[in-house]
Amino acid sequence: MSNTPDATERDESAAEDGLPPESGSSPRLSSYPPLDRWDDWAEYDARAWPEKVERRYSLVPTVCFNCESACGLLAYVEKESGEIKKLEGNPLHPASRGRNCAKGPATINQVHDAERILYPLKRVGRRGDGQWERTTWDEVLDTFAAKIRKALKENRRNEVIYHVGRPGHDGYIDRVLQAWGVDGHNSHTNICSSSARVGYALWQGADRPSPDYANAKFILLLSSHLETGHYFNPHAQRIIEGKMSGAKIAVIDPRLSNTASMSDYWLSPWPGTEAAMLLAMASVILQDESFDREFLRKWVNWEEYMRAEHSASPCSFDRFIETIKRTYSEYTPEFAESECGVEAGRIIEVAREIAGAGSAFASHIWRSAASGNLGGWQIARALMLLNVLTGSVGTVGGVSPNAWNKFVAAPFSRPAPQKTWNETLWPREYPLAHHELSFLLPHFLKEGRGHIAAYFTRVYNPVWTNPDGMSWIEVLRDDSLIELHAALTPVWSETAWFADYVLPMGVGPERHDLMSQETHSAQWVSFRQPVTRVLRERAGEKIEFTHETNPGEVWEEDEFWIELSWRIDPKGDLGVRRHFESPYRRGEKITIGEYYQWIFENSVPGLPEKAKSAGLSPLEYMRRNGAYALKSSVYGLHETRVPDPEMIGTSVEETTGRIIKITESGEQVVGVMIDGRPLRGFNTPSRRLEFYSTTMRDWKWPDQSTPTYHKSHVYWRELNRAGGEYILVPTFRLPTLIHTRSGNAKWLYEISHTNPLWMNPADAREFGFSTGDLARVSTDIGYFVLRVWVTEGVRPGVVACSHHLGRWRTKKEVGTDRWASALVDIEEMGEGRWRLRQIEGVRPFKSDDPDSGRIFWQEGGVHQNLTFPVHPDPVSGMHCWHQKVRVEKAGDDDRYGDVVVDTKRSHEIYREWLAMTRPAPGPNGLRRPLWFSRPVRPDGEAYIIKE
Amino acid sequence: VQAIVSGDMDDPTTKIARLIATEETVVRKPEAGTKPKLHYIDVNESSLVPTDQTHAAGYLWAELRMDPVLQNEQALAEAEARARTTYDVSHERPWGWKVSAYLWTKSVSAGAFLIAALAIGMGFARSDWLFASVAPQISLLFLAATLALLVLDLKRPERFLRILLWPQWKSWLVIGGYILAVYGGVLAAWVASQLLDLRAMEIPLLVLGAIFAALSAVYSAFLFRQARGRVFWQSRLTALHLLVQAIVAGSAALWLFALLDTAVTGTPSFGPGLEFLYYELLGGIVAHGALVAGEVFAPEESTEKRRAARLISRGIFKNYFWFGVVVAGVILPLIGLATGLAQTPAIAVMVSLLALAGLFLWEHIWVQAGQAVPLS
Repeated sequence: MSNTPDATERDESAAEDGLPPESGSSPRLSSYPPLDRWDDWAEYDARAWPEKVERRYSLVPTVCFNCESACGLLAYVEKESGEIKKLEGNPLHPASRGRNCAKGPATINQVHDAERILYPLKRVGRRGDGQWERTTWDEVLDTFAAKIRKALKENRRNEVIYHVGRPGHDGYIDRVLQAWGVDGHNSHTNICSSSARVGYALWQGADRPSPDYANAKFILLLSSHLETGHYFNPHAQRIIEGKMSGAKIAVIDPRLSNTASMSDYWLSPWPGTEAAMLLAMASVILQDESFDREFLRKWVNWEEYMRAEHSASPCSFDRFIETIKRTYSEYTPEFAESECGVEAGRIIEVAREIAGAGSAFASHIWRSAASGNLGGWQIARALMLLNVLTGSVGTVGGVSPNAWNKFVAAPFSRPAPQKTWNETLWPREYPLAHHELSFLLPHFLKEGRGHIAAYFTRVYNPVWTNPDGMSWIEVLRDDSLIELHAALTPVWSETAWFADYVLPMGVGPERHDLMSQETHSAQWVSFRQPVTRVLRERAGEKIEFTHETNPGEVWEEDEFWIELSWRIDPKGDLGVRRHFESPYRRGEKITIGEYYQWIFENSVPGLPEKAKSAGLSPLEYMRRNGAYALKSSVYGLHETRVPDPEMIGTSVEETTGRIIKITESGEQVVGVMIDGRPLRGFNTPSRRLEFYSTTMRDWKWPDQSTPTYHKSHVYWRELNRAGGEYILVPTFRLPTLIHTRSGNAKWLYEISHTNPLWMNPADAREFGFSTGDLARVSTDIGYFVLRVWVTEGVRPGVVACSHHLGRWRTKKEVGTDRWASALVDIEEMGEGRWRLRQIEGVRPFKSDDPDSGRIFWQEGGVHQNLTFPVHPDPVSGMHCWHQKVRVEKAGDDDRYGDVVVDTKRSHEIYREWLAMTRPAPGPNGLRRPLWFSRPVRPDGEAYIIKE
Repeated sequence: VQAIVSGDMDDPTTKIARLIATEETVVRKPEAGTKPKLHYIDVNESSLVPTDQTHAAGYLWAELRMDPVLQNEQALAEAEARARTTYDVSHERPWGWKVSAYLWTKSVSAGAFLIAALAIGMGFARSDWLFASVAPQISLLFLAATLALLVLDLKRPERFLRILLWPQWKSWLVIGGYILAVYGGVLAAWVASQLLDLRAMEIPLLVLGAIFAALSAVYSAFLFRQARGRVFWQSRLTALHLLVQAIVAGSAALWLFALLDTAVTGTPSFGPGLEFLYYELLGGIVAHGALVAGEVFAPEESTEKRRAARLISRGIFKNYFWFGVVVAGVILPLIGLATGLAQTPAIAVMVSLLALAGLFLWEHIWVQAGQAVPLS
């Protein structure tokens, strides 16, 4: 047992593993299997204790696929059986550094889940009836290839839609869809993060923040990053590092999250009033004169603002400061106190802490308040204003644009952008929507705005996750609206139940993907790989497809898209085929190994050299290490000088200082003159941080052109509290679950399996609720029934219920994983009224896994999202999750888990929200500002509305 | 950042040793004297003191299916809690009816021979079949039951021999096992010597048997005390109380046999030997009543002990305690014995049965209440 590690052994081989040093206290694991022993690692079998039974493993890195953080995993594949026995952290991963949350190691449950789907299934009977037969992958591929080929040949390029929840990769599918020439990418983002993205994008172009927590002196969070969220595990490590080095933490959340409980300040405002509080903090910093004058002068587009909005005043920086001081002077701490319900003194204290941290002030908002409220993007803008005022943008301990810290590698061929625009995904009413109006798809289809020939849902469960799931059921089962639907998923979901085909795809260690995230001030890529395939290939076996080494006939998506594309255009006449031909073997179909081999050899700077120094090919290096760090300590890129050669042929716009290059494709802004120096700046039209958004002004929202306080649709002063009305916060996640994708992880469900309604003791006293009582919670379109949890951890007047729980299935023996789901009866009561009632909760069941007979939990939670009408924000397109609800004691007929919904009413509410929009065209007849990013961006021509 | 540091505490160069030397660390229940090796830095006191926490309302993300005893204990203590546990792994009480039954059968086994030895030693009816023959056989029978219960209660009953063959001498489970084995040997030798009429063996076996009977009765006090976190079982009265319980159980059991004999053969129901039993039982019950009162009602500093006692006198065990242990097990037998009513055979049978039943109930609630206060 020479290589069995001692618990305290310190491994120094880490220095040679390719990771650059990182600041912060002890970021590395103190003990792990050293890289040179990964091929043959021995340790005692913990289950055999006290016997000392030695097991020998090959350790193969992969990437977790349970949230989007892309943490590294290390698969322990037993040599004797060739089976994956456990998954631990990959110590070489630059973001997770060997540490994982509960969801990482629980991947092993997903591999061995007794409930998993092993073969492709085809519906027999009507959609949703739940009768399935096993089919072949050939039949699946031929059916979809024929359907798509026909649509392409008839130029129905908006009728092929790929709808994704968790992508798990960077850009793979974009290439596939553009090779097909369709505008068919649909995402989940508008039920997730669109509002925060719009807020950030308006400021800096990049739609996400990348906080440098580890080096911050003060951290302000409107997200619960010590427990959940993007990027929970990498961020949590670095927040704690910051804290250990003396940083203070403030959390703004109506609910006492785990993160709030670890913070120095918990500010619990009325939901939707966060911007008022943040602007009051900004006002304190302005009145105190504790802002970073020089940074503002250089990097804020104040000149644009003064010229446009205060043209009567001289255009000077001092005048700008005076103007914004005056503008924000109405946001006094006292005003904020009366509006938010947080003490004025506390607001001033936090504002001064922020100012004190200066350029080392890190902040973050991702979902939470931004996703809960109408105008949530103004909350993100108000938060970012604090970073701008303190000059903590792009600094050590500050916040950088995500684009600086994320690296997306280019594939071997990039098809031309599609020339079509899909209005079912990007309707004219929402020109500024950050992502597709995905959750309105049922409403659009019902209104006759589109028709779908081939629909792929992938790691996406709209029936359960989206608001108004019953409208999804109504549309999904109607084959005149959706002709053919395949659900690509490792497990059953409520949505897959209504598909025509259910196609089993691999979980974390059974597939290839390349991922990068802006987890800290660095840049890295990580490689998810099918670990048993990797080992068998390493042993010399010839393997054509990953499904040969996966359980049953479980495929991986990458290979599915290659095969499907090949069959759509077998001869090459549609121009699809050439994008799937090997860059190494002319005219032949590419293999997935070649796809990544090309990327690692050609598109990841520094990787080939690094691999060479380790005596490996780039692909071998990535297969062995699982991750590669391109850069560390990335700061201040906006100050990068535009290189002289690039300056040739440019002109500088006099009023704005923008450096403009005229190219064949039109004007291109390459930088901005700051104090006489040509600098890169930010990815905004002005190349500066846009306090003032000309885009908002020009696209019919002049009243919202600067950060301001936008009243929410759940404004607390409009509540009838004596009548039992509350604001429901339904968005927060549990540290141990993954939306609707953890039903196949028994360990996770054993830990968390119920989602009670949080209620403050003051409210509970007034209305006679105790913990455990059943309550009926009514929304605008229906109600749900669940238990109450009385806690001081939520503001009076606010109730909160976690997302994730309340999974269901309609057949006793099959459907959503039985570790997680209740057996329900769904009754249509006519006129769009539906009732879902639990027949029985979670129960022990017989399977190959003896643990399934040991299930002790019974209720399984309540599905609240069904009762939410759609609330599309008129600017960002974000579904505004918070609900005004009435909470009352459950009636005699109410049972735990009951859900009653009226989809007709839901459609009316959709129409009400639609009426709030200010539709395209914008300037120059555009559908959308050209500088806004858009997933799978079409050709410029498609941006122009032609009647 | 590292949340858990493990290593060799005895090696001063390790990180863990340095941390313990330089940081202010705390351990759980240092007063229990278990020398815990798990040290905490900067910990909230309530998270280390289980009696500060309440589990009464269940958990936030998980269903808590508490058994009625724990539920009742938690409900009684809810108002005193300073912290609310929102998540924990639910624990079952490790010792159930087999342990209570083991205490009871052992009391009968130890008591029957002890009483007989005393009676014989004091010269009562030296040749009386009751003391010389029935008592050792009762003791052997109940000892067999005791051993069976002990083995069955092990997590791996098939490995019980390991306990004796590879003994861990610090454990009272092992020492007790040997005590019971020796006691069984002495009893068997006594029975054999009686059958073979080996008079010379009588005195040594009598003395040895009495000693091991007493040890068999008493050792469990030390066994329970080894559960050092269980404060209710740390009482100094327990050893004495177990001896008293053996006397009550032994005298009641022997008296029942004597009465049976009377009913069957018509021998007189009262005589010097039986009188001895009568007074042993009376004295035993008086002492038992006093000791029970001491365990349950004596003012107590320790929260755990107070809470266990409260569970007995006011909680889920209150009916068992007041009607079973106190009224049926102590007061009624005392009335019967003190008033002389028990000289009527029917009443005497009742008195013996009530005393035995009350004893069983006491042993049961003593075992259960001792485990009901949360340890973690």
